[in-house]
Amino acid sequence: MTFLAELQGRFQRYIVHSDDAVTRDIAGPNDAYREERLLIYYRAYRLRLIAALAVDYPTLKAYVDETRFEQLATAYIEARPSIVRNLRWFGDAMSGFLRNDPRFSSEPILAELTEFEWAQGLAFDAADAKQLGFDELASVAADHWPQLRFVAHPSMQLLASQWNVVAIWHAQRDGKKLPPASSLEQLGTIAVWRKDYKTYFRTLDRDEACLWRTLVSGAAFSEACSRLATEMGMDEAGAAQRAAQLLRSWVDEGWIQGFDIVSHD
Amino acid sequence: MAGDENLACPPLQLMQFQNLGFGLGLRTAHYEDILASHPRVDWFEALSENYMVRGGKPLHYLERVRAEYPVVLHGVSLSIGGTGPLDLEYLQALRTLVDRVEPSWVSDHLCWTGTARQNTHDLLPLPYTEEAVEHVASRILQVQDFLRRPILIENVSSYVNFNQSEMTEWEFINQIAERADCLLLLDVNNVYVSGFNHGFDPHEFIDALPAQRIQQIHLAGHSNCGTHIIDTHDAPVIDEVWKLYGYTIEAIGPVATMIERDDHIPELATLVSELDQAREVARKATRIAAPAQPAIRSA
Repeated sequence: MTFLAELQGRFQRYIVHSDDAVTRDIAGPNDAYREERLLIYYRAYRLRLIAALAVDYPTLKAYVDETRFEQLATAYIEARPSIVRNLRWFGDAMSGFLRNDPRFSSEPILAELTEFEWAQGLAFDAADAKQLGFDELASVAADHWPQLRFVAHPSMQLLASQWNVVAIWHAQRDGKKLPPASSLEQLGTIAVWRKDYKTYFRTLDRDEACLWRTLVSGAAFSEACSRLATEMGMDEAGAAQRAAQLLRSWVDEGWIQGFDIVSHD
Repeated sequence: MAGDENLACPPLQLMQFQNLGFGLGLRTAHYEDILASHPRVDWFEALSENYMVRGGKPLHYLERVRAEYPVVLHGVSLSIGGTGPLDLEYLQALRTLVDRVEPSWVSDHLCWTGTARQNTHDLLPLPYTEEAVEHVASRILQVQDFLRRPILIENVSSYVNFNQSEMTEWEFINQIAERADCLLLLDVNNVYVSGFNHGFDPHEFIDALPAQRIQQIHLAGHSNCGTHIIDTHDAPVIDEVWKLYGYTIEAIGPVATMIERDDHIPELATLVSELDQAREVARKATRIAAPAQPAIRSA
């Protein structure tokens, strides 16, 4: 290994792991001077990463308060030194960390809030794609409708939700007192997406989540309607009517970028 | 005879980038204001990494600003001094962004950011050694080949010097620029900060640089902690740095200049006023300046 590589290894171990072997490489009149100067890099590393996480997770920060957020962020930084080139992606593993680390796993609301905020970030800069218009859909011949297969907009994500993350998020945005964590009566689903460069989310009813998941997994429209009828205990005609209604709202909201027609060949 | 002159002195391929004038860093908080008010700014510098995303608002606004102003790309993650392999995925993303934005030029820092696949997300100092000169110059050449264009390398603020250094920072920069045949982004604030932190005369630093390679100048504010200065980019440019900027323009002639603000970002109008101060300092300095010199790259 070259001298330069060895020096960089020592310098990085000081910044990331507090290993002070690099002190002997630093020019200066005394140890106090060397330590003061090295500490600038040591502190900047943590402050920069904590600041990046605070940008990604403002609601989590408000929920746990500033002091605990610093502790939580520092625990994440110590557990997972950055291996990403772009700071944008450093916080990617935060929800998994909070879900699995014994210091935080007893509060599942933390991981769920984090997952919700990260999904909004993903929607914010997801790939651009056109959003299907009503006119295009209306031009499909009636006998092709059963074979329609839809493609989701790249920003569109569904999240499972067990906690009142939406209420906490709204309170944080509006500068109100945040409600305590409370679990939902039944497992919910939240959609997060982007339209016209603005990020949106809303909760879904069970039948809507069922139909969307079936359709974006590649099922044709008629198959998805049958599945909806089976899962929700509806008759075929009722399921088709409900599916058409949902499809209209999805097109309006920009969840769909396009479709193709499944060939029977 | 012209032919004889060419034999005596091998011809240089002149690559002269236009002097873009006076610019600002492109910041999210100012997107709408820029497009609505068309401020008195000649060009914008975009942070490359902020736009290495798949789509959405950042690229949308960058393209709209680009449609109305010249844009240059400035990176913080190239790690040109790093000892790990060059990150080809990053370089590919940069090249894709360059193709999309068609910037006037591309720059990054004379530093390293991490090793062993880790990233400190900081602009870390290099030892000023022959080994580091050789290493950095060869990597700049690789990057320039990959991007098919010369790049600008910026001097960073530093808080430590290494015992193993064999030369001054300005000698280090000179040797790298010469061997890599690259251009320079001179951060005048960083010269001031490092001069304070290491006890050198910033004028000596400026005087020693190859003027013809300086394509761009950065100005910024910093935080003075008494025993040292930290390069925070969170405050207006201080008087001493304005004076050093004037001295620089007197020495090297007019160069594209911009103000960086990364924290405590004020209203756009405040930065436009500060940029007017840069215009005024440069105008006065240019009266007694050496003639502007084109950036030179040897063939």
